[in-house]
Amino acid sequence: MGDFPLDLLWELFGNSILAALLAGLVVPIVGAYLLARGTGFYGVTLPQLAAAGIAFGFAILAWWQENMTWLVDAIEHGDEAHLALPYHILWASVFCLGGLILMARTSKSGKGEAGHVAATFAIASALTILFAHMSPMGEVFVHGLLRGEILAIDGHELEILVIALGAVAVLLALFRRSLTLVSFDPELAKVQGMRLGSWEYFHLVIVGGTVSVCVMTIGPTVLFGLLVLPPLAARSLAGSMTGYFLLSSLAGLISSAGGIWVSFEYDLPLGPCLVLVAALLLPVAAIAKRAKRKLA
Amino acid sequence: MRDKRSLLSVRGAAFGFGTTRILQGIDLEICGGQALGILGPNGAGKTTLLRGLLGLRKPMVGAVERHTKSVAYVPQQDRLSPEWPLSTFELVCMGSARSRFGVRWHTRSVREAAERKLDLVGLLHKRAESFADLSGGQRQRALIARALMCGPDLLLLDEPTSGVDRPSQAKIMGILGELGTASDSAPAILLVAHQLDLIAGWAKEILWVADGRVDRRCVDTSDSTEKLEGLFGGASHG
Repeated sequence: MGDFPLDLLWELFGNSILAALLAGLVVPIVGAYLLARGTGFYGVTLPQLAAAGIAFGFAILAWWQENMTWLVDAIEHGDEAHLALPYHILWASVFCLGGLILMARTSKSGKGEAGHVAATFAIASALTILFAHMSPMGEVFVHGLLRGEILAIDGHELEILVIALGAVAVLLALFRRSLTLVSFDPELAKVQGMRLGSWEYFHLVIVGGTVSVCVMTIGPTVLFGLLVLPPLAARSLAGSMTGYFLLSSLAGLISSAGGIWVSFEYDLPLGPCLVLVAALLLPVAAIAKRAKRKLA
Repeated sequence: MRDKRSLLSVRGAAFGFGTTRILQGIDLEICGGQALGILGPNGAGKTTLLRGLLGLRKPMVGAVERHTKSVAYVPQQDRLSPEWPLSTFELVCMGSARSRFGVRWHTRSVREAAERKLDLVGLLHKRAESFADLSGGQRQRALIARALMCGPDLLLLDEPTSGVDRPSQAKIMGILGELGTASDSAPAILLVAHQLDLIAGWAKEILWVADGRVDRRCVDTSDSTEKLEGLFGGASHG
């Protein structure tokens, strides 16, 4: 990185750096809820479902263009890149939200939630490979996503990410206490007259929306890491929910910044670097927790 | 004393799971200021009754009518996941049902009320500590403080002395005793217990849950535990 002019670096990779930092700031807060609700494994399964959705979109693209003439017309007259992104996000959302609702329903029926989520992950992984295999373009694209190559984010993708994650951050800031209550003690929430079903779906939409948009821009590998690792590190240190959210966000930001530095310094793929830096925070948090206990 | 108006009426209700009735033929009237213990053998349906009264479980037949919106409950502490790093203060603030369009603001009045309730249960000094790090008895007292946040007319507690050492049990019963004698804000209290001797000096009436039925019996607080156990069929192990 030392030989590379900073302004050129920023010009080439500025969008990707901003995307990684923004995701590091917001995605761990979404993961913090998943982890506290005992659904941390969703953090691995949902991005995989979204990736399967994207691969599915590529697999049926030819059919879609042939039969959905209104879309083809729109693409021919519009900016193809701008239309391709919502198309892929649409399929990512369909798979992600569909899987979420299915998993939420099976967990309510008490048939072994962890087993169902693990099975969903296995099925989604297999579908991703099969769907990608059906389209050469999709295979290259999905392979890149899974490798965590997030260095090619364009301005439009960054705009979408800023809007989506900005909305998620605002919604979580406003409704964090209600979401915490319905998740932590649904019986009290019900006694207080809150509509549990509506809040559950609201939570699913926030998680599903975040995953669908992020998987298309920053990819599933980075998403896995940011959903699970920073909140896991933060939880061992936090003494309050406010602290938990702030520490999760801070840990995510450190993971992104550290991952960017390692990636550029050693010329490695950004995604895996970011995840491994996030993983390093776990022993750091464990040591800090021990020190905190000794001081108390 | 708060007025003796009816807060909760149960008419010919039955509660159960699926098509199986656990409790049936329940007729009850709960009025302001009453202190009732819910006792019975293990698995007799004490918690089912409590959940039915709270509205968490719909009656299979009959009706449960709550004539007040100001209802609070204290769950068994082990029902709450320790995975949430809630501070004790945050937990108590949850008891305030005040919200606008789903947004729950912790206004100054909410924060001050939470501090008063924490003080009432002797946990103000633990306000910044994680709820999960409190002892069993402290957690139970924090949950009582949370329940008191809405100034309830009706307070329902599910085995608040379960899994708690003797001194903590005495503290909890002391707090409930003080609530019952508060001059102008005494709520009706229903408490599920597994030990008769713990609530014998506190409850004026007992709801005896056994064999699918609920019997309401008056108790003389001056009766010895042995005499009461005779009346309730050795309920101390219930």
